[in-house]
Amino acid sequence: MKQKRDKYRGRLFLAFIMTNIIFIFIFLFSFSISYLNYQNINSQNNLIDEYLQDLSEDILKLNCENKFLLESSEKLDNVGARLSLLETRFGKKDSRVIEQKELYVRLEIKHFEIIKKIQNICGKNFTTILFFYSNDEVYEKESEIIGFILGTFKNKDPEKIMVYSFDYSSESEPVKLLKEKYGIKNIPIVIVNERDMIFIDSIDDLDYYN
Amino acid sequence: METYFILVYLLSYIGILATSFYVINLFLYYKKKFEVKESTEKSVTIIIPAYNEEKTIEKTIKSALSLDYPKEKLEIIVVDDGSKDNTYSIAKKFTSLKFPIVKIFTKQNGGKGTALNLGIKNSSGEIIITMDADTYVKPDALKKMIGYFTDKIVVCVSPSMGIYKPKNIWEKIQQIEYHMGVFLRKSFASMNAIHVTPGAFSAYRKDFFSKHGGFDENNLTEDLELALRIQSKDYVIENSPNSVAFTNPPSTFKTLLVQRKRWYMGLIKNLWNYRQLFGPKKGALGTVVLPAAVTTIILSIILTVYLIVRTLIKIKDELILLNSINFHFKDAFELNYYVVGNYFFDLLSNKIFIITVFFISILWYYIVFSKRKMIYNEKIKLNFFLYLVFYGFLFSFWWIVTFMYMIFNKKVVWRVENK
Repeated sequence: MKQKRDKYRGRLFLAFIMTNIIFIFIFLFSFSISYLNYQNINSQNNLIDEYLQDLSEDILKLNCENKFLLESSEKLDNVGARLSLLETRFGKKDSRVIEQKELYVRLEIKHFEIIKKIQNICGKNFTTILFFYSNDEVYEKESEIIGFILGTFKNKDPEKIMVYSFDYSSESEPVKLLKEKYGIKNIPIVIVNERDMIFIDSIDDLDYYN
Repeated sequence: METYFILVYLLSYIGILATSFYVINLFLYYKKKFEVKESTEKSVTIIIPAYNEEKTIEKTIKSALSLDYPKEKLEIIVVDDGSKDNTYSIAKKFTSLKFPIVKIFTKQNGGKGTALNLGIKNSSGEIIITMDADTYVKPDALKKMIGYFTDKIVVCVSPSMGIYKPKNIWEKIQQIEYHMGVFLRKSFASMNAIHVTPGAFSAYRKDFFSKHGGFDENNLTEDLELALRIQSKDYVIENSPNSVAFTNPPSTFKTLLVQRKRWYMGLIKNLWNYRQLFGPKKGALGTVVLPAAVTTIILSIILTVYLIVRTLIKIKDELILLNSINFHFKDAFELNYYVVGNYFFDLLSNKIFIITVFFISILWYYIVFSKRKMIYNEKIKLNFFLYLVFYGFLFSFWWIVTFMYMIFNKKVVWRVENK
């Protein structure tokens, strides 16, 4: 006695539906976490803005001991890292990414200006580093290495070393002004203390500024 | 999108589709079908082919003798396939008045298929059980399997196979692989798509051998060939998950590789010989199960090779990065709130990570199913971890070696001979 093959098409169709639901769920979950990241970046940016506001006011009052200085600097670094993650997930051209990057750049510049003021008014000594990088394929690898070196360098003395990173390809007006001001032509490049324009490929190249 | 991601998504989609199909089938099977009752109605011959099995043969025969089955309906035939050790003399001890149901034959070495065929020729049972000489069974295994033969359409019944007291890493990884097999075999049975029956312990209706011939004596995987032959003749292969048998697996990297080369080469050759099984005429077997198996093998190999190359490049890049900052190992432990926070967003928004977690959950479900059916209480979490870490690489490695042997026409041997 031989068997008749089971009718399986209905079950296979059900499996297709299940698979598609599972895939949609996975993509939605991933998107939700990215969106959570976006919201987190947004709130962090707003918090940094508040800190910087406090800092500005304190400087005007000649108050040189401000607890928000280190905290705002740490938060800036963290938001920078999260923004690059958001860029990977949502894409460079995503309006939310562009919006947060724009806001972030403004905060960086604001922080940089405050640091300069603190240097002048309070006589504190900072090492400021402006880093112009690019995510274009040609420069991406090198930019990543320099970013990593700068991150490590900052960690050596986070209260004294301030690193500000700017996307060379950004359409943002403040970035364009900075590029013009410092005459940036080649990337990736690092400007230390607004004077020295250097190319680095090892942390040893920064020893002089430590 | 990178080739890597396309491959990962494609493999994941096929994997999830196949798994969903298997789970649906199994769910519907248990929903509509009553548990098959135990039976001792049929006369049974257990054939134990043995070649150089002096270490395990005694325990195997004792295990067969301890089966909870009427002794007047049970016959045990040991076929010594020209062993060079004491297998024959050890088995011979059982052919006395004390054990009248045990018979022993000896012959020149000719391979497992020849030994099994000799056993079938001299058997008297309606049902033939093939049992490896390093396999042990739970006493109730046989009567549970025989229950399935009440249905006349069934010509073969497979059990749940486990690994006997796994000791080293190779055995522990195989233990999890066998547990996976328990779920898959039952699911395949629910749509009559079993295409591999365990050579270590399976039951066959003797009529089938009379009508369609015995085991293929020149086949590397004679059990696989037989299963495919049964499918090609449109008979049914059932699975009895509550019938439990344990086997001694290869215990070294080398012996495991030899076994897998034989299995995989046998699979390639037999699937080619039975290529007519692919396609809608053979239902889910030809449309889903066999195509999914072949696709998974090919994609897994490509993906693993790609992953290894990618990881090596990544390690090289990481070393360049670490070198650029004069890295010291202790720095690696300087985690803080921000690092942990970023990892959270990075991992949980990574689709491949989520898919991986999903697959691990499915595999764990397979294990839970298997443990429940086999009433297996040993702790296997560590073994599961070892399986997750190493199995993918091993699987691809075994396949790549097999393909190399095939391309260069090298001979695949049955086992590593002890010198």
